[in-house]
Amino acid sequence: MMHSMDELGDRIATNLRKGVLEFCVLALLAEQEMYGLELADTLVQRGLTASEGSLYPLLARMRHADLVTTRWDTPDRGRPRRYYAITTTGREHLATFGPIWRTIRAGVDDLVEHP
Amino acid sequence: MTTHPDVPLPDTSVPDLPAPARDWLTEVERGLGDADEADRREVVDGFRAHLGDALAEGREVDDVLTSLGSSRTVIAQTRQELGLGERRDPAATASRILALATVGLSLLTTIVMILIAPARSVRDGEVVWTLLTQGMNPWTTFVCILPTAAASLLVLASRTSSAAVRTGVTLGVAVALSAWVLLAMASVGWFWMPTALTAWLCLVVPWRMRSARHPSRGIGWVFAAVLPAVWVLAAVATGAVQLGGPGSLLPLLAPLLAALCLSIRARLTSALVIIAGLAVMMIGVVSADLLMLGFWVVGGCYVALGCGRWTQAVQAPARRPFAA
Repeated sequence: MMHSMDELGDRIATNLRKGVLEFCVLALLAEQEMYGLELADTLVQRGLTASEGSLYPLLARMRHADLVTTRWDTPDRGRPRRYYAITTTGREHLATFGPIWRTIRAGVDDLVEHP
Repeated sequence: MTTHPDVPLPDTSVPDLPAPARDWLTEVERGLGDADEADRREVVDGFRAHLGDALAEGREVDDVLTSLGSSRTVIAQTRQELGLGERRDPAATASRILALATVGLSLLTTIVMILIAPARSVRDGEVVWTLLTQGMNPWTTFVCILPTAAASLLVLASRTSSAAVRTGVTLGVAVALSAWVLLAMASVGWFWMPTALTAWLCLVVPWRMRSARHPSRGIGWVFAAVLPAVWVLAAVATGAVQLGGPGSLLPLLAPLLAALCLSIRARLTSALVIIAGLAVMMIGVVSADLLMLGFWVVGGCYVALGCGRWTQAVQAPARRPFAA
């Protein structure tokens, strides 16, 4: 029974994260540009994704949608890294998402905490 | 520190990864084989850089791969994100098409042998036409059905998910049909040579599609198609055959034309070869003379080659799902 509750919890969390992961990525990149592993680690530490493998196809789609842009950084010493940065369109999407998320969160909190 | 604009780095800029990571990347890349090349490369480059960075930080390769997820899960997630939908395995599709082609050719051969194929004999100074199987033992006539029954196993095998069962059954049927051709070559065996060839292609073509990193360039098909022209040239060169008029150039030109068609990985050109092969087979049946076997075998082999090349042309074209 406990096992199935864990599975249910994982499934709920996965479904919720799916819808907001794109905006979490935009929010992180709005602070500073990041390379892939750095972005993945930050998302995992914050509990915003359980599957790092879903990040790169998402980033590819976001780049095609002009929400993020990339550049390669090739230092004289060390590994070359591909950095992701938010675009103006990405910032506009993030700004649109903010009020929507706050409305949804307040509505859900109200229902779940005071049914 | 130098920076570059938004262009992918060449693979050589990334140090070698451990074997499990390379295998994982290869599986992911193969699972996205029908995606646009630039999209596939972008996603795979992201994974490659992630693996390289994580390993450079001292993390264990197994831990990094576990955190990324299984290649199967990642392929499914990526395909969903790229809007590609579920992918049909082109090798499995090729296996099914060639299995059906084998059954079709064998069935056609059986029908022609039992119901149509004429035999010419002379009795009391008069030419008498009978069915080829009429003068045979009834048991031999019944045996003509066996190759089709054996070929039907290919269709069943092509639908199984077990690669070992599929390969085992296909190999067994190809060997059995080849043995039938050889054992019965004194009577009707040779007529099943195109069927046996198609069964072997049913084994080889899907294997080649699964193991090769790049689509076939068609060199093997061209080589096989041009062989009869080489044989005719050799016969002319040794004086065994003399070219009489423009019509006698056909055995030279037709294989070259077929080779040209098979050099192109397209359904239309492959279909043309199949149709031409069937036409040659039917000419053999209608002509009802000693050349019947030659027409049947040569035409049937081109049908087999056309079917094999056709299966390589039915792979889904790359798509750019992000494009407007």
